[in-house]
Amino acid sequence: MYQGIAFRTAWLVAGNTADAEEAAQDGFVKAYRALWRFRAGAPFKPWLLRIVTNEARNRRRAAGRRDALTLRASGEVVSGDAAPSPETALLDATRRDELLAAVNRLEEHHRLAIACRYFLELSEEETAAALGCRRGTVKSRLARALERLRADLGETA
Amino acid sequence: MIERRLHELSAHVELPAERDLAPAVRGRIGSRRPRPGGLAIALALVVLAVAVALAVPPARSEIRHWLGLGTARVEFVDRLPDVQTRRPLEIGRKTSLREARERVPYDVLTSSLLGAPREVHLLGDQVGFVYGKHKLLVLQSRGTYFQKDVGPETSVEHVQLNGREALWISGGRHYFAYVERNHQVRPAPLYLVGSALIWTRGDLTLRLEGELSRAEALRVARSFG
Repeated sequence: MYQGIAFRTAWLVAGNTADAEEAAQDGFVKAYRALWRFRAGAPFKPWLLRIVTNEARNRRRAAGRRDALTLRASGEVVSGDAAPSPETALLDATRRDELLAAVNRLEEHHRLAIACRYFLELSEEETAAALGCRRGTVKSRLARALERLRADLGETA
Repeated sequence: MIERRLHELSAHVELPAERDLAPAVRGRIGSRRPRPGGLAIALALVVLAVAVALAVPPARSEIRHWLGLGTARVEFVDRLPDVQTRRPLEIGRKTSLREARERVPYDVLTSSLLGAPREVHLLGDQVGFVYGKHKLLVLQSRGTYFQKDVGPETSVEHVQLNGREALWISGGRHYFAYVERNHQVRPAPLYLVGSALIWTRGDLTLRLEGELSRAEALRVARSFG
């Protein structure tokens, strides 16, 4: 059920798929062994994500990697809407590339907050668990990141 | 505006393809718990995780939330299924303590307080002790998974026992069932239980069921050293 989101969140934090896969495996095994500590009534997903991303952070730290993950556009055509004209499609793609480049220019802790919240669609609580910080910190990082993106792209709030 | 653009962008960001982690996790958990039935259930509980509710009797209402301790799963439900108490209890065939010790792959714990049990039962790797005339049951296992459903009138408390967390279930009857290898709740045996204490010792999960106070139950549990 949570395999996909756990792996992808670990990928954001660890920076590569091999470490993310190992971190997710380690996280699930640790979660299983710590299941008795899981509090009744507490949401399961943030608890699991916290364990998995701790593993991902540890792997990245152990490997001494400082370079952050660069997000890329998939190039896939998203179905659902009527096919846009070539001009519109080109304009949309250009605007997306500009935005993604601006996201990649953010400091890493801001970029991770944006990626968790908007690209993985985690809640603030889940984002806080994934990034190992408080929910208030997530709020302030998101606000600051959005502010910087607006400034970078010349948008107003 | 920027938020809307980010939401739109999310459909175009390259994310890694999902991986099937289950075989690897199964192997890892299996290195600690060699019993195949236990492995399957462990994987069901962890990898497939909580949002996938185990199949339940139709009379039971929606699961509100759950918690796990050792091989136990306690689910909080709005209403318990309509079941009758069964006698005799289905806790496996009657055996001797000596035979039970020979048959299970762990050191069977006994009570220094209660003395020899009146009956010893064996069900898979679960050893059950009956003290008095169905007044007190103590069951221990390493790979037998079970679940308890508790309704709104029943309270579940986290208590400390030998420095580890235990669960004290009291205040109303609750429903008990074993969980099968295919992750399904076994439709029988079903029975309703009074108070219960669930705790772990090493890699064993123990449960005590009977009409005891919390203090009495904890005292009995501590005597299984």
